[in-house]
Amino acid sequence: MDTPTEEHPTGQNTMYLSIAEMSLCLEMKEKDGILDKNNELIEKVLNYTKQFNNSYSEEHTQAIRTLLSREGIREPEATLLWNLSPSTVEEAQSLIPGLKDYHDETIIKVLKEINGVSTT
Amino acid sequence: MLEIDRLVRVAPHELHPDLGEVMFHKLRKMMIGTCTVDKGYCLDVISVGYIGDGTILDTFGEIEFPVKYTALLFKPFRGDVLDGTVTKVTPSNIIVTFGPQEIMITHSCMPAGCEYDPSTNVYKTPEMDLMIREEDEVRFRIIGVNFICAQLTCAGTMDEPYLGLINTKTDKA
Repeated sequence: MDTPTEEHPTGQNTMYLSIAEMSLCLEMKEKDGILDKNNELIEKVLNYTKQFNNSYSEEHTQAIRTLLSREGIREPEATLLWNLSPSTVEEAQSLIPGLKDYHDETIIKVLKEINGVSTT
Repeated sequence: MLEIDRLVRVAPHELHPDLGEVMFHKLRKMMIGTCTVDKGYCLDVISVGYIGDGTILDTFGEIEFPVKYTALLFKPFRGDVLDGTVTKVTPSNIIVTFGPQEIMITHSCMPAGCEYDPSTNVYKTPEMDLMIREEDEVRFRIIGVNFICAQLTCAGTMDEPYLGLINTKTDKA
């Protein structure tokens, strides 16, 4: 059963952050003492990003973001691809149908970068 | 992250030469923790951009300003695949939590062959090659998002290729 995908808003005023980027962002705020950990919502998001961030370093997070922009993959699909870190093109296109618009070589290149230094 | 337009009311005693700072703190107080149907949960206000000319309201004397600000949001989209942790197992469904959001996956949307075992409160296949229990990490697709009583509710499925169990709690121990 194919679930119809809800349209993701895009535009110059919209940016999609991966779990890895969100994790770094929240960690920096935590170190600077400006993260409101008494807020239940923030605490849940912080715990979630720590659990599912695949332990990317700051440098590698930036490298992946640069690569995704350079390869021209739409931000919503690129972010999902990064978060899910599939092993193969087939898996990637099954999980994210929008990736069928791109060449297999592009997806393979991105997957190599995403999975290359994952420590999980 | 999204840039949002909003009208913000400022009381006369709150006016300050650094109106940007006033707006920033006001927006943080107003918006963080809120949930709307179109934008989801507001996690943080990052910055205030444009502040337009204010209009004095003739009711309480407040000044209303059109403001553009950038917010950090969390919104589940129908069709997206995500990872989460099983927080509850019942005979008819499981509840999975991902960040601030919960999603219900009914029995009929579990991986093929999975049945509920009341003696262990676990979903498992007859061959016992797949077991899903509390604290396991699973991958699911969102098939429905609704906004009820100022909260988002989600329904999901794991009955598709590449979805289902990714880590059991024994793997994590």
